[in-house]
Amino acid sequence: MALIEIDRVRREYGTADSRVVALGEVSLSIEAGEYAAIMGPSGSGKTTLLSILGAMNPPTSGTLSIDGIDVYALSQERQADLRREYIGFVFQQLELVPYLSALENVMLPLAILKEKGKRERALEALGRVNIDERKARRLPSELSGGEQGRVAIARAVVNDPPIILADEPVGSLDTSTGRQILDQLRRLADGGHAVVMVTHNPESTQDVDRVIQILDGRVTCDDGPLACVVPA
Amino acid sequence: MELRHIAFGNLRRRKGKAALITFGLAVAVAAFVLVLSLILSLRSTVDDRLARYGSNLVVTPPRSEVDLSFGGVRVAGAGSGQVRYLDESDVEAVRSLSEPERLTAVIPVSLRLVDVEGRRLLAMGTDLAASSRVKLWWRLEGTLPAAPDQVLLGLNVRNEFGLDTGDEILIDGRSFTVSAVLWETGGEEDSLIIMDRAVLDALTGVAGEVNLIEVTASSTAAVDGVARDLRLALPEAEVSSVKSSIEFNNQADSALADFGLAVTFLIVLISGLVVTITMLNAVQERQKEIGIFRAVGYKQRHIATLVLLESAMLSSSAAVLGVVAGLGAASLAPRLVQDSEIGFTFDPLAVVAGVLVAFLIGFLASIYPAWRAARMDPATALKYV
Repeated sequence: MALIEIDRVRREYGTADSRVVALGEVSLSIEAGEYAAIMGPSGSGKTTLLSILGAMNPPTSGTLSIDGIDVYALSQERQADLRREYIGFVFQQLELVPYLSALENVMLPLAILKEKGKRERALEALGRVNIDERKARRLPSELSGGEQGRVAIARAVVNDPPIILADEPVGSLDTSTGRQILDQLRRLADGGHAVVMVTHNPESTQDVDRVIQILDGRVTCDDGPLACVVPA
Repeated sequence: MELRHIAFGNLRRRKGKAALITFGLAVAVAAFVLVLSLILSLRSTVDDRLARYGSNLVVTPPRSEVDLSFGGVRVAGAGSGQVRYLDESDVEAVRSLSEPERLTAVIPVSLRLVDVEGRRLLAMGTDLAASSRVKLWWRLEGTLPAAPDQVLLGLNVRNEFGLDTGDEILIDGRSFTVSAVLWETGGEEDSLIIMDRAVLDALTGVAGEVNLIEVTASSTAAVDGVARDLRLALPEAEVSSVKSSIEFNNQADSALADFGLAVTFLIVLISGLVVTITMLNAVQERQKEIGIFRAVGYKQRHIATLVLLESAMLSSSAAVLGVVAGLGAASLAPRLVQDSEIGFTFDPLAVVAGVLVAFLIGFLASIYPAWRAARMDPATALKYV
């Protein structure tokens, strides 16, 4: 059984008079340790697919299973628990909370837990992305682009989730900084996490195991990067 | 890190909105504390005025018949004309009322006709020390009678007989010394010879008969309750209160307090609306941030808690500012109103009530914004849809 299984998922928006099909009957599986990129132009449905994978956007029809659990059969409360336990997010433009320090940003998923050792877990996650304690006390605005990206990854892995979802993680970064982020994602996949990255940039797919190309809400290619990606 | 750290951090970042909300709440709290302080001061002033009237309740024997009198002058009784009295057991019944701390003084009074140089005058036997304590208008030339052969003269009696302190006066054939003269009161006491009640009883040979009992309740609030208990203890006696006349005189001040409360209510309402609208605006601005919180596993109640925590923090600041401003304004307000007898009395109740009002307004005003924030769909908030 794959870690992530999507079975004939369809997502429509709008009223009965004017329906828009954002995603039409998509089925795919993603294994633990797999590094997959979802590629497509703007409006192709890749972000919709990512949000469905992230247990945030119930499909119009079809199912999403994570570790054998039918996600959208759960209550909203349990879906929130599942997101916390199974999924780490790296958001577009990183979306670090500007009034929290790097350490506090990484501790954000832990703030609602009644556990001891939250600070130590966050420091350990930051250590894995080479952010030391001194830098951890700074606000995001006091860090470089690359450092901010690594903090975002640390926040995504602090709960040690089996799945990492990254939405255009290098879109706003320079090439060198973006490279650092992509290397971190590769390392996470090598460490056993299922990593799914949404991107529109073919150059970001150099290290991925698999490219899922989407066009007009349908998967048009699902293969290795060389097979699916058209060089820019 | 806990949710309160996130709440505090957000307030620190959005100082302008935080200041606006705090100001709005503080104005409402200040208005409330100001009006409440004035009402409490008014009540204290009424109590002071009440004290100037001395006894605020009078217990008299029941009327056995229809009295033929006019302007306080009893002309005749319709029947036998017999005068009825209270007795020592009635006095004891008054002194034995429950919650004795409500009573400042219980003064039985005897009134007897006595002969002074062939003239019939009215003598009053009373508890002289207690009377001088509660009757604040008593001004004496001399000293209060302390011995059984000493008396206090009303000014009219003094003038009629040309007596001064230290002079002898024959009353019912017995010699007394005038120990003091009462300055003019403008009332019936000016025409009395006043002495200790036991002395009067011994002089007239009549003991145990009490014409009236003067009762002083400790506060305005206690008068009605004491009057009710007196009527229960002495069902046949008549109980009169002087409270109503004082209340009549204070109607204007009471009306002002009512107006103040109405205006305060409006201010509180407007303040609550300002807080609600500002917080709703803040929630809308934080849409993406809330989406991130939901994406990393925050439940709806966590989001609502964040908003309510922020409201509680702002309410704390507003409570301090509002109470200080309200008390300050209350202390200055009497000086602005000409001829007002209302002073400023600090009452901790105003502080406690102000703090409670701050948190109540803050909480009620943030319920809807918290609900809106909690219901935000994470995918929509993150613009995934």
